[in-house]
Amino acid sequence: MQADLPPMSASSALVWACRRDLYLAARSRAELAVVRLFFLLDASLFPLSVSPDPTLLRAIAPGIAWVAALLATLLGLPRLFAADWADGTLEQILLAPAPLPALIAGKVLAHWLVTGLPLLLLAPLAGLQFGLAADAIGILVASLALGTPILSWLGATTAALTLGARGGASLLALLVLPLAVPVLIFGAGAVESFAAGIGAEAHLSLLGAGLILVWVFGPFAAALAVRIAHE
Amino acid sequence: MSAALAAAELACAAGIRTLFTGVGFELKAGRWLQLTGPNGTGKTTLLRALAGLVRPTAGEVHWNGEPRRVGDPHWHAACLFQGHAAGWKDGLSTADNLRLQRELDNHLGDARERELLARAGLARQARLPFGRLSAGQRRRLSLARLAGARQRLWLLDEPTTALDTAGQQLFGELLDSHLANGGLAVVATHQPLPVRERPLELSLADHAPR
Repeated sequence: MQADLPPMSASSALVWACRRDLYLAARSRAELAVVRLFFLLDASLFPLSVSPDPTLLRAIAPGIAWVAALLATLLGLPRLFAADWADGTLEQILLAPAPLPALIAGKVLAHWLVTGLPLLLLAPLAGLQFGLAADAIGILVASLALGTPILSWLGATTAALTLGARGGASLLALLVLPLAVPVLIFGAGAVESFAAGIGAEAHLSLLGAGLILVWVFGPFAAALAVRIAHE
Repeated sequence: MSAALAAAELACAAGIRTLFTGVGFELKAGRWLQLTGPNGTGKTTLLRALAGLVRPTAGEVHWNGEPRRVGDPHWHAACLFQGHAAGWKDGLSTADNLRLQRELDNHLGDARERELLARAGLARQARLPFGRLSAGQRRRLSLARLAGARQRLWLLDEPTTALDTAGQQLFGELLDSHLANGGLAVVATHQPLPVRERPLELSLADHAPR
């Protein structure tokens, strides 16, 4: 009998899961395009519904961009685990000879790359639409870059916990929204305080701290949540 | 060192309903356990509990004489579980599915997918999306995984459902060569399987709670 295969290292587990999910995402481009379009459409609704007044719009633009980013992230979250759960591939991931937190981290990274990253690229477009100045747009993108991964991790843990629950997707939105409030406050606040001349460093530092925190604890929390969902 | 799987006083529940209690067995290298029992007696749950997906309500599972720890990569490297939900992606091609699963099983860089698919009779379906395969062909993809598996313990749930006679014959050959190599297997099945090695038998009907 041959010797057992060596377990997979954490880094190759992360790379495997990330590559796999990107490969799968490349096959459902239409679904992902919906998330991006949703972000832009969402942001475009406000001038129509609130007021076309440029000064007002410029003042609320960061908030709008952040709310739109949050909703777009929510829209993409059910994809993260639900499909793998339904066809049994998540089971095989749980039973793989690899550290589960690393596999989950790879999945969340891939998820952020296909849903979060495009929002960063689209945010300047939304900012221009509202007449934000170039440097304010820079701060907006920076806050989104730090904040959207936090949203992805909060969402991932919650998504794993709602696996198998009836009405999982809507329950997920209901659970994630309150958790996302601090991210929203500091994200939108960064641009506002920059515009007010206070500087955005404090807000961005807090988001950065949150980002480090979720990357340290998120994989373990989400891995535990996935295990619990299978019991 | 030869491998051994042992369970003692194992009990599992579905929700608040106890499925079985007091299940115990010892399985040595080269032997296999045939798990039988009417529908709903917990065959699948027992397999999932052995693999570490479900926490048993009582009892312990031992691997090589030591309690096996869920999440221990060495345990997962030794154990292959093939459940009801096959664990394949409908949208991916048969070959891609097998490649990804084998990478996850940590067969580093040996591209034997074509050969294994041919062994399982799926050579012509390699590029077809898994979702387009027939029920029997889907099962055959699991056989392709088994044909290239190096895990010492196989936990299989109804592996021959929907397979034609040739497919069942192939499954028997794969299991026989696995056992001849010092492997172990626990197989839940209703049908007699074309395996030369005589199984230990465990019927969960005898362990239903009274």
